Amino acid sequence: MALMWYEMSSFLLQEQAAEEILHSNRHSLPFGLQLTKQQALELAETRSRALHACGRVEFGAGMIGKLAEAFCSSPYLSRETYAETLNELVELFYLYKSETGERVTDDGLIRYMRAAFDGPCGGSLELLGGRALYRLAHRLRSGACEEDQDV
Amino acid sequence: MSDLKPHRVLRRECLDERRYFDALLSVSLDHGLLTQNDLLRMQGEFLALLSQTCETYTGGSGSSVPVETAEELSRSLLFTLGI
Repeated sequence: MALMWYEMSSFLLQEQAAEEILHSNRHSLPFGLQLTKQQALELAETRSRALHACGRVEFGAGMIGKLAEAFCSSPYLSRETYAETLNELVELFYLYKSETGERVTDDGLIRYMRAAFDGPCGGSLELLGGRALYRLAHRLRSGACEEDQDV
Repeated sequence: MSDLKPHRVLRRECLDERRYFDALLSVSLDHGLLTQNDLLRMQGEFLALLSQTCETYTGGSGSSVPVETAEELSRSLLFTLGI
């Protein structure tokens, strides 16, 4: 029953989530990056779809703000691709939060994503998802590294 | 006269013990003891409680949990509320 309530409310709260996402503009504006209301709504929808696809439940949309805050200073982001990149980062985040089997914290995963995106991936989302995060999930699942500190 | 029993709209024996709180809300709504507005308010309050419980569960290290975990936490909360 309670999760039915959650699904009902998450549908109604998209607007509220978008407002929360727009708060991240205060961090990204100094880098010339800004989300519009429409883009924030799209991000809220992407988040809902990604959570559903990964079989996860989340209260509040603070994670997107954290991603935006962490990535807005990346040299690989531009005004034209900012929203699109964030959408893909949101999908990758929830996918690998699940794939790592809860063995990494949200902040640890975001730090790793940012470091890999700017470093070995050279700003490529394909390499970030297909190589860096895939390897991280494999290492965590195989026990090659156990905790957030090893990431 | 001694056979007369007080009339009760809610009879505990008619409520499913395994999902007591859920059943209580449902019967209360059917008999007009709760309104849709009451139910909406309670849904909001329950989701806030579930959100806090999920945060405690992850130790603040994660904002999301697998659906199975959320279901278990929900069942646990509803059971506690039913007591």
